[in-house]
Amino acid sequence: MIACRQLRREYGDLTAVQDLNLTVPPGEILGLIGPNGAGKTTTIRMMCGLLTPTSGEVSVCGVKVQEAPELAQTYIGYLSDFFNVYDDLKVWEYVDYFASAYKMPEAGRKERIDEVIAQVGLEVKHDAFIHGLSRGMKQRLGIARAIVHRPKVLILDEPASGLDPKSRADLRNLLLSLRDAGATVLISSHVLSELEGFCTSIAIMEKGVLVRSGRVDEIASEQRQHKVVRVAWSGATSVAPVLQVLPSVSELAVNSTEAVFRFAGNDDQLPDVLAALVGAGVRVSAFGEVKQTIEDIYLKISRNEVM
Amino acid sequence: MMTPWKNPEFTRHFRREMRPVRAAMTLVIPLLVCLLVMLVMRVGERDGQGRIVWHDYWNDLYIGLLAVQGVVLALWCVSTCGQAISSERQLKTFDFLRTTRLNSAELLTGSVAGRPFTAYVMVAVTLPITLLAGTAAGYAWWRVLASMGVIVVVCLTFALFALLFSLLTEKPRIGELIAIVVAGCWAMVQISHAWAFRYQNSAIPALTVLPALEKLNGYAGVAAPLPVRLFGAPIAPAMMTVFLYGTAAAWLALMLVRNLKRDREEMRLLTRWQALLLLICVNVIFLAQVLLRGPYGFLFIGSVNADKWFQQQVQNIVSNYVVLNAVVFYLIGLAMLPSAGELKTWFREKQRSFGSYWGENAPPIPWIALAAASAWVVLAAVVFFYRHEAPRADWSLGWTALRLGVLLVYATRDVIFLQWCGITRMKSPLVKGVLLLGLYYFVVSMIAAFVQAAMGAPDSLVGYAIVTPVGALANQALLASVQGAGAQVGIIVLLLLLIRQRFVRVSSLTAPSPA
Repeated sequence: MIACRQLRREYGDLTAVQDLNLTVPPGEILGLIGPNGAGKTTTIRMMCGLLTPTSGEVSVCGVKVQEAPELAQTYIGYLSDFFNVYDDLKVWEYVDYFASAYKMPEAGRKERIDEVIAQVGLEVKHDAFIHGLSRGMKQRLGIARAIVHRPKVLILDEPASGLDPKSRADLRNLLLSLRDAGATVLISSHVLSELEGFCTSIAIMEKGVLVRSGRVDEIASEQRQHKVVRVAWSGATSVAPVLQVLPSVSELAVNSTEAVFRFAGNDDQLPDVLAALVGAGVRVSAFGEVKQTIEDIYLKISRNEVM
Repeated sequence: MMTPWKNPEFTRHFRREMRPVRAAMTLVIPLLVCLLVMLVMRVGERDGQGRIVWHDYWNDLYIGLLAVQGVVLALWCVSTCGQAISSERQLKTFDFLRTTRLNSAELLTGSVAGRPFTAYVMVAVTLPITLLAGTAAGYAWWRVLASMGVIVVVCLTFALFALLFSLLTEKPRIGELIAIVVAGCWAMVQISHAWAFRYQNSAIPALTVLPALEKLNGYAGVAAPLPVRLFGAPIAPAMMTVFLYGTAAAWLALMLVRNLKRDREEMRLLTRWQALLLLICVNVIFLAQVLLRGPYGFLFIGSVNADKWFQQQVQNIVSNYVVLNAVVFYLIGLAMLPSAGELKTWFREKQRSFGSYWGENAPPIPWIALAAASAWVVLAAVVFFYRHEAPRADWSLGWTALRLGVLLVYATRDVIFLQWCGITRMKSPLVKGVLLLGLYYFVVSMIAAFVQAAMGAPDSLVGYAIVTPVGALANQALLASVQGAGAQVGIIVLLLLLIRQRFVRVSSLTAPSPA
């Protein structure tokens, strides 16, 4: 759906994006993550046709963005961070303006505008002037603008910047519903918790270089040569004597009622550990694998622990 | 291309400007102002016996309304278009426009038609009164409409001009300010030509709009303006004014369409071929306007001492032509300057072929040289075309070539210096580069003046001619200018070596290490 090949952008002496190769398949929600200055926004701007690459190419839905920019825009919905809207228009006029600018046919345009306004939860503000909307509402209006032409690819650059928790949750739900409707979403952020449980794949950029990309579960499983297991208990009997003698357990860290250890066995062998603990009289209150968050993955990759 | 009234950019401005209350005010206020002006004039236009002189009344009302409509329309166009793009860029709304399917031409037409829409409505509302006043004063209706047409063409050219400034400047107010200052200077030129000089100093009389309007309306000026001619043939001033402003508008529109959807750093006003065509166009129009063919031969001769007058006119034409091209060389060089990134890419990817040096991202030296050659060829072609008309004229083509050559060297040196500034890590390199060049010219002029005074020849231009192009412009000390230009060639080579050295260093720093 999105394919970047040898994408490069230089600003004088600075190479902002260096020979980036990235493919985002249809239906994915890809989180483009990296610290400030990693080249995320430059990459996104090249994907949207806002910036010409120094070399390399981007294609969206098979259309090369630099060769046929206006055709490519049919497939792209774009939203940047901290944007403004035309305050002197009404909500429906704003969406209508962009529907016309995307050259949507007049037949059915009004219905689509109403549908999109409802989709972002602004139907009660349909005829209101934009200058009276809150920041969160304006953000939702921005999304309405970006999706009014039914783009197959939605590219969002730090879309949750400046939003309150409720608006962030709304944004997440909206993006999930768009994904369910078949859209491919590329979302950049340096707040990794925003992307947790939401992105199906990630691409990590640092200093203009794509250091890792792939599906979240695949990257996580690649990193997990050993499962990390957490166990909690109550009572006086500690887990340490039991776990220390098991050959598949290593790096055991124990405190008064909780322990974390690495387990070298497979999924079928893990219940045996639990059984051994219970058999030794430990009153286990919690036992399970510690799932790795995107933040864990990112931190490991950025520390060069995994490449 | 969509029709203007369906253009979303136009619709946006129309909706914004024509909200009921605002629309009512836009319709009513101009009519009220007209009514007040009519009442005031009714009091003023009376003869000694207190009776209204109706012809004078309608005439003054018509001229007054035409002037007010022109000023309002021009100011509104300049003000709204002068901050159009830069303000959208600042609000981060322009990127959204750039990611729609609207192409640059549609964005442009929507902006020009929509942004000053209030002014269009005001003019349209008062047009019937202007028409009524004009016809009552004895002017044919088509003359009134043609006058309004001339005003609209000029104002639209200014709207495009202001839009270009807003595209090029970063801060909205700066674009607007520059456009207003330029429009103000233009207005001053109009007024000074009309009342102080009566067009006698105008190289291209049709550039000033008033002769066109006066001629259209048969208005008797204080003195007859210079005749407007095209390659010697008389032409209606209004037609020539529309042609000149229309041509300027077409070039401005081309620059805007090429760049409107580009990122600011990637803008290049014209391709190199287009820039060359612009130079040829400017030169041909200039020569077409200044070559006057009267009833006595090639040049309009009104003097008994024809030969001397004749020779003087040719020298004036050539001198003005050289000065015009000096300015054009600099503008074209600046317009062709590749960005640091583009030059770096060219440097990295260029093959050592002749063609690569003519590419869009290459240093513009060959193109400035081609521009100078084209300027000379245009002049030579005109001389050849008029060889039977002006057999006695000494066009000094050889000396003109030399003068253009000297200017070419200085323009190239300064442009390459600005290119070098652009690849350093200077902030605002172009502005600082221009300031440094200004400082250079100031310092060397002071030193030249001091040396000349010390040598006892304060009026000579030799000192200036060695370090500045003034010798070529003033047609004095031309040989010293040529010697000075020779030294400047060395500086050009040095600058090119500095640029090359910088890219070699950068390439070695960023070259990918072998896997």
